[in-house]
Amino acid sequence: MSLLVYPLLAILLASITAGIVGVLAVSHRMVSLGGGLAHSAYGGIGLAFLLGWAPLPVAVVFTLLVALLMVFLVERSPERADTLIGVVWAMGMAFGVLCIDLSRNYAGDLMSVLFGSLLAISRQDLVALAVLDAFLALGVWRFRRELLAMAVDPEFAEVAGFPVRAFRIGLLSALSLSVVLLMRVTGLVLLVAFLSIPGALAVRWSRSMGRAVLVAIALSLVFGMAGLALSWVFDLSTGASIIAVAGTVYLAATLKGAK
Amino acid sequence: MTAAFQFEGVSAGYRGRVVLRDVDLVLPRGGILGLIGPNGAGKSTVLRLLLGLIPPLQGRVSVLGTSPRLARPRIGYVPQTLSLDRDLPGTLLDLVLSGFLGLQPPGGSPTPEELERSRSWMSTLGVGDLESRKLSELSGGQLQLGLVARALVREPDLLLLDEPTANADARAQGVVFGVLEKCCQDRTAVVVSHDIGVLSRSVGSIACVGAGKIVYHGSGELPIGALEEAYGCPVELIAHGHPHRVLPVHDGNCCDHDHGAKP
Repeated sequence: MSLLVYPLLAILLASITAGIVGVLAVSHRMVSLGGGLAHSAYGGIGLAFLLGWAPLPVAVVFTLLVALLMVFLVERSPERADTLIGVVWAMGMAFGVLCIDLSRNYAGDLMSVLFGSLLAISRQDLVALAVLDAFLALGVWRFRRELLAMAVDPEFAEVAGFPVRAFRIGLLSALSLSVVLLMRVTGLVLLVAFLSIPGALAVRWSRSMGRAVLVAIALSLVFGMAGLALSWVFDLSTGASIIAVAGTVYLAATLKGAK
Repeated sequence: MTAAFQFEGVSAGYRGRVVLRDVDLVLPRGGILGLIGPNGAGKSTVLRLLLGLIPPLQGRVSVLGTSPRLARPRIGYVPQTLSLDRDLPGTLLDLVLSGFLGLQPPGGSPTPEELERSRSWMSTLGVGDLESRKLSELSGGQLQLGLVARALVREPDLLLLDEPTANADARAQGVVFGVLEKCCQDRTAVVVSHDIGVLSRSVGSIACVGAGKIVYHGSGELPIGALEEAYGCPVELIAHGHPHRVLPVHDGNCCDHDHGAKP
């Protein structure tokens, strides 16, 4: 049973991260950007293996730099945002693969990066997630009005003299850090769904930003626990089990709403 | 007193396409200016220049005696409702409170004064009882009234309204222009609209944008020639007392009104 303590704590902390960042990503239409950053993070991991450095800090810095590059490119061609995100998404992944091809140091398990390795989560990973959650919760609580106003009408926010660009960079930085840390739990392939599904359901069902965050955290927790239970009982991949549960609930809610 | 805004030899456009050419326009403070013209004539470009969202390709724009960007805290802007994301977890009160954005340092809860002023404008505009409705639960007209309230809570010196009554029924249109008339004794409003009928009831002056220039700016009867130049086709201005409507020329057999101003 003690084997389950770290995974359970990881799901709790990752649920808080995904709940907060998911609501932000959905309401600010940054879900595909989050996917792009997650796959770019793989470039950072590949680079770390090539250089023989610790993967986590390299992935964090690499992903932050990619996020800033995306802001720079999208601001110059906003109408091409989806194409740019797609290109950076593919390039980040390709860069990681090439780095690993060239690396003599790589001894890791690619599947754990792609699909998560919840059962191998470390104390250091948990501390990093807890610190990130504390910062995210404080930031969202403090700036909840501004975050909602910017999401509803970014042009008005800019015209009103609000520092939209600085906030957008802050949001992207939070998203970058979150995707790198969440990758250990869900894996990068499934990360987009974990970021988007609880957030999308919570935004649909809530009347305020604060409540949406709480609902998204609760949903992430339920999906996480249900997925962990499935993977434990049937010896399945944990990340994939979590997403299977979340995706089923999302589809059911969408079909019910479409009636 | 400085002008509400001034264009001096302003040309503007997007991606190499010039939309406005060498425009000179001065609007004194106080009163309501109606900005009309066909689609693509440059009405929204005028607003974007005033808001500092695009720089002029040449010439100079000054707003309230300074640059558009520096004037932003003194501007109230009502965009078209289409630009909003309504499927978010926010209420009408949240929307109106966002009018204080940029006036205070970011962060924290609304102050009692912000809440009181927001509720007061919502009540004046007839949407006070909808404050806890989600944005997705509001009609287009109700949302538009909320946007007007959001602009007014800033107590701006200059109000810029882009089609503020496009989705509003006759009662809501009356409320919006009634409020504007009261507000604009000591402040200025620029209202972009396709509906000359609505504008002619309430505005003090009209500027007509067409083919990249201001073809008319004045407070008298709108000249047919200016409208024809702006719209690029023969038009008919039909007066039923008020309102006025601009129609393409027609033979008069299709309707029973007086064709007094046929070209």
